[in-house]
Amino acid sequence: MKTIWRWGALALSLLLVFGASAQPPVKNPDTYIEATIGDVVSLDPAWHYDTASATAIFNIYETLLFYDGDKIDKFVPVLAESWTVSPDGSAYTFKIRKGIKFHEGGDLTAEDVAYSFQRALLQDRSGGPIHMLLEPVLDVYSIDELAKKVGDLKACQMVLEAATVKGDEVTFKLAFPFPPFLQILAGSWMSILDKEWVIAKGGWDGKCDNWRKWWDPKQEASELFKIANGTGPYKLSRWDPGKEIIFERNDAYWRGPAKLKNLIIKVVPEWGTRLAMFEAGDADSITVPRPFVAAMKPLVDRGAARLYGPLPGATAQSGFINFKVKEGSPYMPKLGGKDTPDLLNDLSLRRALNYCFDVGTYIKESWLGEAEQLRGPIIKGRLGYNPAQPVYEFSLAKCEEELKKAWDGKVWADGMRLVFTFNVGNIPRRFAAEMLERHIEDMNKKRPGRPIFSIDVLDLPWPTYLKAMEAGELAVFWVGWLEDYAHPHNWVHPYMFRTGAFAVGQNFHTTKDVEFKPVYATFLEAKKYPTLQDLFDDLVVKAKKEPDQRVGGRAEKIYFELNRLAIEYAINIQSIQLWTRRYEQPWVLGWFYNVAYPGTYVYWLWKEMPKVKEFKEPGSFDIDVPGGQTLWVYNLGPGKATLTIGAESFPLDPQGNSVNRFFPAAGKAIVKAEAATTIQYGTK
Amino acid sequence: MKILKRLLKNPLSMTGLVLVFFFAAVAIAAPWLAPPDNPDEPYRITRCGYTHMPQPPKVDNPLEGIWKIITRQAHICEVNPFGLIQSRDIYYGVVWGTRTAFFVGLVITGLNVLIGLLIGSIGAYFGRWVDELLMRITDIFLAFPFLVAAITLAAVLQPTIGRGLITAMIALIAFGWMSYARLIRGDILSLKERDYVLAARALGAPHHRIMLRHIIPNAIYPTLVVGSMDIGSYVLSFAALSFLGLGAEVGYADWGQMISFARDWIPRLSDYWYIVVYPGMAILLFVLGWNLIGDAFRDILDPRLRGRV
Amino acid sequence: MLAYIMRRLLMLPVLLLGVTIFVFAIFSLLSPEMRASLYLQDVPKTPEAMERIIKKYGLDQPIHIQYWMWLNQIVRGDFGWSQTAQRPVTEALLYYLPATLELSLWAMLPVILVGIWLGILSAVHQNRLIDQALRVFALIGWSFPTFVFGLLMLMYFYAKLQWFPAGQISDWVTREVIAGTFVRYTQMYTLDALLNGRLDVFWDSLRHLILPVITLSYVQWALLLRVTRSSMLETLRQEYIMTARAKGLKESVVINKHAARNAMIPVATMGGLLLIGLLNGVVITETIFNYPGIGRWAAEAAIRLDILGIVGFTLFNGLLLVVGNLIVDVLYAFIDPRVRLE
Repeated sequence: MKTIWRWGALALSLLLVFGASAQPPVKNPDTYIEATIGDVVSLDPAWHYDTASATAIFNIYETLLFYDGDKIDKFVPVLAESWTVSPDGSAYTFKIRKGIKFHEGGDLTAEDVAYSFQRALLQDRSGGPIHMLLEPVLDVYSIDELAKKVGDLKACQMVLEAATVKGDEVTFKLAFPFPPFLQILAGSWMSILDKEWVIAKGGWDGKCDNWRKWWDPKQEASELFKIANGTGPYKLSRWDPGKEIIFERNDAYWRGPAKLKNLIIKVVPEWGTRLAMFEAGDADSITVPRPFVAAMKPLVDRGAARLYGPLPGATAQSGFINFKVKEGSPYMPKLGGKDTPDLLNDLSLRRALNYCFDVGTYIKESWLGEAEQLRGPIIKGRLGYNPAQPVYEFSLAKCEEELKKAWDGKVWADGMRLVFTFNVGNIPRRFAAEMLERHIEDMNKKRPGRPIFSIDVLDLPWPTYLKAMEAGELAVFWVGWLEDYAHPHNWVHPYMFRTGAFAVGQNFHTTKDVEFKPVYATFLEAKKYPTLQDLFDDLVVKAKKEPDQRVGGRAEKIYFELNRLAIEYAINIQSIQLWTRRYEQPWVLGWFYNVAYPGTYVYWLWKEMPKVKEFKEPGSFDIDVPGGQTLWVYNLGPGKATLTIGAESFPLDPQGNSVNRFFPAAGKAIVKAEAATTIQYGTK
Repeated sequence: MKILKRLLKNPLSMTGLVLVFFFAAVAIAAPWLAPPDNPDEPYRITRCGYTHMPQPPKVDNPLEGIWKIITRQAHICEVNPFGLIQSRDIYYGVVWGTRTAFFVGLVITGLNVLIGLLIGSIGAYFGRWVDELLMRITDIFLAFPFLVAAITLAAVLQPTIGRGLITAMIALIAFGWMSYARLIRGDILSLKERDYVLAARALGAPHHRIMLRHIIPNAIYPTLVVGSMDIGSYVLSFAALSFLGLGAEVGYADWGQMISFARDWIPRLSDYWYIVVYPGMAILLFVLGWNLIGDAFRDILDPRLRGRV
Repeated sequence: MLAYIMRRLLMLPVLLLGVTIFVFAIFSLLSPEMRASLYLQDVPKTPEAMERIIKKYGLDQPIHIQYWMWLNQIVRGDFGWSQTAQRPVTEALLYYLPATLELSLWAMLPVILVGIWLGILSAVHQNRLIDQALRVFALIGWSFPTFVFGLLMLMYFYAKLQWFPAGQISDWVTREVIAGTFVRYTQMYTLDALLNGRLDVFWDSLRHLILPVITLSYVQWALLLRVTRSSMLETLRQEYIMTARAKGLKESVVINKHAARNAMIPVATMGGLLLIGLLNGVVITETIFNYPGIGRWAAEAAIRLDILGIVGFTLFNGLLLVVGNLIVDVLYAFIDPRVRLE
């Protein structure tokens, strides 16, 4: 009996010793598992237009060029070795890298590049991403539009001529100089396919005779819907729609094989289930909707989860004002009890809506402070964002003043009725509408008599909402926009251009005689436009064609003008840019934030517990990195720090972006802490 | 009367009765228990702020908070006796939600029984091809899986007639009447052969008279009882629709909706227990109350046990 | 009997046709633009996108023409494409059904065994404390919103204790399936594991099944308890039981050998209906436990207005219901000679 006790005690103490000293074990050390909300929709690069599919595609396929580190305006060559732009900015020539093989064995050639480009343009799935390419290349928004103008055959020939092959070079010709073209080429829709393989799988044959056979396919009709054959670091292993997509490492990857052998992205729509997976260590990263940040906090606080953020995102949300509601709309505005479709075609009234919107409280409460008021349609971090642009501050006095001016005092005298709309289930948009409703209805107290300002807040099911928005039936509606590519054109187009996604439902063309006097872009002439829409269109086109896209250059000044006009004419109700976060297990190393990535690029990642350096006070330490390895450094906080590699210096904000650098030769990095803080790092 | 006596004798059904009466009292007293800000829209839950984060009660003792609200010493937003979910007062929602629960349960059951009565009695009385046709229609409706069919109908109705109590209720009624129709039909068929009906017929009484006077009053009784036992289940089905975002409009005093908001916080129950526990207990006790009564009813009505218990 | 079965089976096509007409009729309430939203998850970025989608999927056709076209497809054996399952409808059924069937069959075990046990226990102790406690316990399960109970289970046994994970199977098994070292004959993991002779996979699959099975059973116990209890009470009053007692047999023998057996007749016939009920009742359980079953798919198809998915599912369900009920009726007639089928 005694011996048993002794052995037991020994085992127990051993267990305690090991349990205490051992690092928390890394679960599934060679597999990266992510639990997300959205399922992949299609693996056809030209077809897909959602972040879940894009995430899968950009881990399998590659593009000619890609974003450099965390930057969005600098590129590194990937499948191209180098590129040149013609002096007038309308032709881009790419020299294709040699010796690259597709997963199924084919060799990458310049032909493949031209084919991928042409196939995308001719496929042009309705509601797909290809309008982005068609706009600069053929100056249309759909290939069908072009074909109706010039005929099927001619349209296809124009597509073939837009991408020409000479030796190992491919030249893309644009309809006009379009500086954001590189950003568009870096998107997952321009992934490079193996021509022979696609044709063998039943894809477009590269000829113009009957390209319509492959035009605008249904999801399941695309030959690449469920299969993939790229050049990237991961190969598709199996996609189980509604459940998961599984990848395995491409051991022959041309930049060297990835550090993690397997990659699994699971669809887990229920939040509680995702959280449980994370807590059990079965997911390395999960999607966390903003309200549940609080549920993650205990994990972050005790070091069981690593948080990045909040980081500036590529999403914005605005209220949109319709200048003339379609006749017969069920959401018709009323002035003094009478149907008035153009009620909001009144500057004072639109300004009143902006002054009455308490954007500060809204961001603080509904977005937990993780958003920022915008100064026009263009988000912070893009060319043309103007920090000096004045905006509407919340002021009930000014709101009242403008309301009294609206319709020459008729609104104040006779009252009005407006319907605020948003899509069912979107809580922040509901709060925006309800908040504005309250402040406008409070104006009733400022005047004697019975209440005459009446606001209805209405959530519409997505199908109804979409239809009503397109048809211009909504008077005031809240929507969000997720950037396609990191350029201001992708913001002013939906918000202001005639055919833009939101502008279509706002009827700017119902205004009359608009005077334009440039404030920033003084090189433009002052002139009168027949309508506000003509003014917007003119400036949007001028800006996108302007070759001078430098900071401080002419394009930026035109974008300043567009921001200014959007604010001065109050075409929106307070736009805000949303921030984002990422949560991962502490054993995931190598991740960094690039706003243009659709999801996690797993090639950068590996799994092990990080090395930790704690600073009790300001100080610095060196990290020696062996040649051929990657260094990753993250600042847990609370103090700030900087990382210096050679001549380059990177800020390390607490729980902010990390740095991931590849060292071709052995080198040294210096971390300097400005205050007490904890640095996590790793090399591999 | 005899039945009521027996219900009162059994501790389970007694508990059930107490629960249901308690909720009925709360429903009646709602305007005093939780005075609405806008008396025209009492079912819109009072909003305090604009955050979707749950907020804990502002008083330590909920009863003290409720007392302050009843005695009008404090506005509901100053105490929030049960806390806030999506910036809406849980206490207010629980109190007014009682009315919604009764409304939903009673109206759905009532209409289901009514439709069932109509179809069942017409079929049973006229027989032949009318019966055959109606029963085949009933079969078609029965072939739909209840919840999925209700979800489909609610999802289709939502864009056309808007979101709300009515939409979800229509969906639950459309696919809920079939069992009553069959029950009534069966009962009528057996009653038709009873002596007193045959006697009335022999005396030359007109059809509708026999039907209304002699058959329906006798046939409807078991169906009503079965229906009353289903009230709780309909409240749960309604909550399931709310779980999927197809129930009442957001901000409407409805337990199902509150508990479905709360579901995302169940993983952190120790911090946010109040948003799960109060609406959860309300729905559980309400449904349990009806089910306890129903369970006892079934015992009483079970023909195999009749007279021997 | 044969005539009865034939008649019931002949009604089947009529019934199924009625079901599909009904679904299409419901969908005629929606405008083409509303139905186009199934194919558009975001605001259309070019103005003609919506119009083109409507054309592409023929949503602007009158609903009776759409129905006719669909019927023509069906005749060719093509049930169409389910946008929510992202597979052909038939494939989706074949993919999701085994998972749900496996879950339901496993759930039958505790539902019936524990349910009957609770029922007998409660009948034997009629109107005593045990009886009342058991009935309240079962009724609470019946009265609880499933998602609350399911999430509580998940948080405790998965996130906290890490005993029973969510999902259907562990990733290492999936990798073996891909690698071909584990063959899926029936698509039901527990059964396949036995066929492959792999106890480790069997155990892994079981671990994933336990929580949803408990959640499903707790809802159903009240029903089983109720039926067993009343049938048991009836039997206990039969004369032969009295005789057995009078003979001085042990009470446990009387109950287990004599009474319980006879009380099982109505319970046994419930089995089929119970299985149908379980197959239908898995919507929310599958959502919570991230279990890729038919209920989750059907609910998503319904919410996103995926008409072909819904039609396919309801057709299958109708078939199941008719055939299932028929089998139950026939079984009942076999077990209980007093019942005659007409």
